[in-house]
Amino acid sequence: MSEIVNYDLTGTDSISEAVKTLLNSCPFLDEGETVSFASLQETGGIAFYPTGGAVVLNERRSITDHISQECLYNFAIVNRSYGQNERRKMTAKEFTDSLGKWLERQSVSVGGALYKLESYPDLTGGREIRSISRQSSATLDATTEDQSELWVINMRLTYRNEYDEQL
Amino acid sequence: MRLERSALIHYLNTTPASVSASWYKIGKDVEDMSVDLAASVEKAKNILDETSVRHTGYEASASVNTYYADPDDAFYSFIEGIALGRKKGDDCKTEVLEVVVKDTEDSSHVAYKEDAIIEVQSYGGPQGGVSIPYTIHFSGNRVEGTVTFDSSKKPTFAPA
Repeated sequence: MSEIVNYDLTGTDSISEAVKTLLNSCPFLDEGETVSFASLQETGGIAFYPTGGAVVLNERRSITDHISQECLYNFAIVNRSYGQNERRKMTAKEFTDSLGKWLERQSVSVGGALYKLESYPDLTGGREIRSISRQSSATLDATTEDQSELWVINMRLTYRNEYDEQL
Repeated sequence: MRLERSALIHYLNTTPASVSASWYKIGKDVEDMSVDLAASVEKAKNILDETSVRHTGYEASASVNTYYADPDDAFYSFIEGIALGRKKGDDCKTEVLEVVVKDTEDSSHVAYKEDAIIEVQSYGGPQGGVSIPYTIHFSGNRVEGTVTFDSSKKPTFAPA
């Protein structure tokens, strides 16, 4: 019998919005550069793609019908860049890795400057981000016909969702 | 029809020194909590093989094994004073309110109010929060009455 999976459907939208805002607040993005949601321009750019929606990992009910859920939101960051020489490949990979490391709230050195994400953004409706972690280092996922390269890093975001089933 | 666990609600008065009680609802992170009655029962058998039973009362208590410190919580300053301030005696005294909601449509509900002593077991615990488990010792002066709830679900106790 297949396992039943519960989804936090409202949370998916809230998390996606928060992740987009968070990624676009990254201090070492190039000026004018933005991270989009599930949409990459053919000329290049950075986007993130949720992979599966917000899933409820476990749920506890208190004696007062207060519900506490531990939830998971997996997403991939895709960095499209051009050029096949080794130096540009390393730059794209290092940038993508640095972005993932920054999301983990680790100190990141980019261009000689140190950056650290101090806190995660607030979420709506009793949700709170607990952690964001890399599931892989940046890897070359594909090379397109026009010689652009897609560097991908998989991220795992866990958050808590709490609400009262009855007041 | 069987009552849900949430039909039995316990509150603690977080302002015992005030004229009006401020009731804090116990149980946000608690999955299991019971009132242990610890009844005092003495049995004796006489020469006629008759057994007599003397029931002399209760020493009731309830252990709240899961409380995570939250300064936004009305109960926090009260329990912080006991745990970190090492308060004792009457400084640990408050009131406990027990309400049975048999039907949410009822305008009033059966309730009992009693004096209580709060005993903090420990504080700290593993990562994830500051855990302060405590025990409520029911200490007498039990009053039967009813509770009504206002629009924000705050209870008001009225003795019978």
